[in-house]
Amino acid sequence: MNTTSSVLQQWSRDCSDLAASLAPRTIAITLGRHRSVSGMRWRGPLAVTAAEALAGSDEVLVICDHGEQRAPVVACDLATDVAVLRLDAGESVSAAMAADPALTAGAGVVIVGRSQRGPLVGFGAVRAVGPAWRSRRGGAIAQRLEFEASLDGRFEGALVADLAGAAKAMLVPGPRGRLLGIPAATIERIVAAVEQHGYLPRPYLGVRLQPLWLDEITRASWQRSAPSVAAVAGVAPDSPAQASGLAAGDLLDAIDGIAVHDVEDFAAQIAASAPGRRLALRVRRGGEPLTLEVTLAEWRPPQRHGGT
Amino acid sequence: MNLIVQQGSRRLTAREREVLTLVAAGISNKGIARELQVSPNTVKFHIAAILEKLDAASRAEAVVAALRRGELTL
Repeated sequence: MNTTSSVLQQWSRDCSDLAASLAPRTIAITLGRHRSVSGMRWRGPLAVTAAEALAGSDEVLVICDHGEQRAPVVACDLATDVAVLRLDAGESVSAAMAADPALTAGAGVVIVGRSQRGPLVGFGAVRAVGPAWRSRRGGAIAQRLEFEASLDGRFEGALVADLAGAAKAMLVPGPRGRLLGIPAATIERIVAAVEQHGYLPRPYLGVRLQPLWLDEITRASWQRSAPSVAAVAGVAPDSPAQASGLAAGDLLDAIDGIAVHDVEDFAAQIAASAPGRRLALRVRRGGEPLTLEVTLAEWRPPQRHGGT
Repeated sequence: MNLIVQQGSRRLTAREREVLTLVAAGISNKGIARELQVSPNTVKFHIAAILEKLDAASRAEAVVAALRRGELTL
């Protein structure tokens, strides 16, 4: 028996064992007769999957290790692409993710999802790692994670783990065919809010914004790197924005000292803040800096016919 | 003149803005239908029209596009 082949066989068994150890955490979400995406049990009865894939469903058919069940969608956050499902209580596999050791570019990963027929496994690598970022979907994401792997649509929402089996992220499709990871910290922010409230409370400020494009001279004198600034186009009556004194024409400079680059950036920063949170908004009014204190309210559906 | 008419037609209707506001809040199609007292199919129809008008490939893209145009309240 030659050494090379035994090393390869051992490596192959290790890969298979690794995938098998993660598979019980994964679920398949059936979307129509021939389409499914993946998801993972997170904690207790809660599981997560990719929000966009659900296309506005309020209940989905979930297949896990122990058969299938209908599961309500309890939260759907399009900005971060995280949806939360509630599975039957009972056997709960904790998928709590480990922040350490952090993923590094070039490191190997295993990506485990599930189809209607059983677990799906892919191996790949970390293509890029970066700091916290704001996605094109308008979400504040705790860390940039991009993967190199050959996967199909059934892996959307799959679990990404390092080769020690520590779960690190949820796989979602990004722009231009990229494979992105929603890191554990971002998923945890949403799941923890759902656990606390039973749903995902959303912040409400009460502003309409539009980008205002700046010329080079203004950008330089305001020391702004972004080509546009978020301008307040309107303030809703009886809103936190109105109570704070925010007015149409104000240009948004920073939230709690963190620079606001543009409209999407402002929206992502607000969306990532819990209702009740107090924020210091630095604005420019008539060119002069001004700081306004605002307390975010909780978003409610616009009033139409009293009662819920 | 033509341009103005075209641009006007790309703006979301009041109903579409209502639908997109609820989409942005993560409300399901059925939830939106209940809220607006219309059928789920009407909601799907509105969402398709919104995606087309905003040249968006997904709900999340439509929300961001509408936000930039000052058509959604944050």
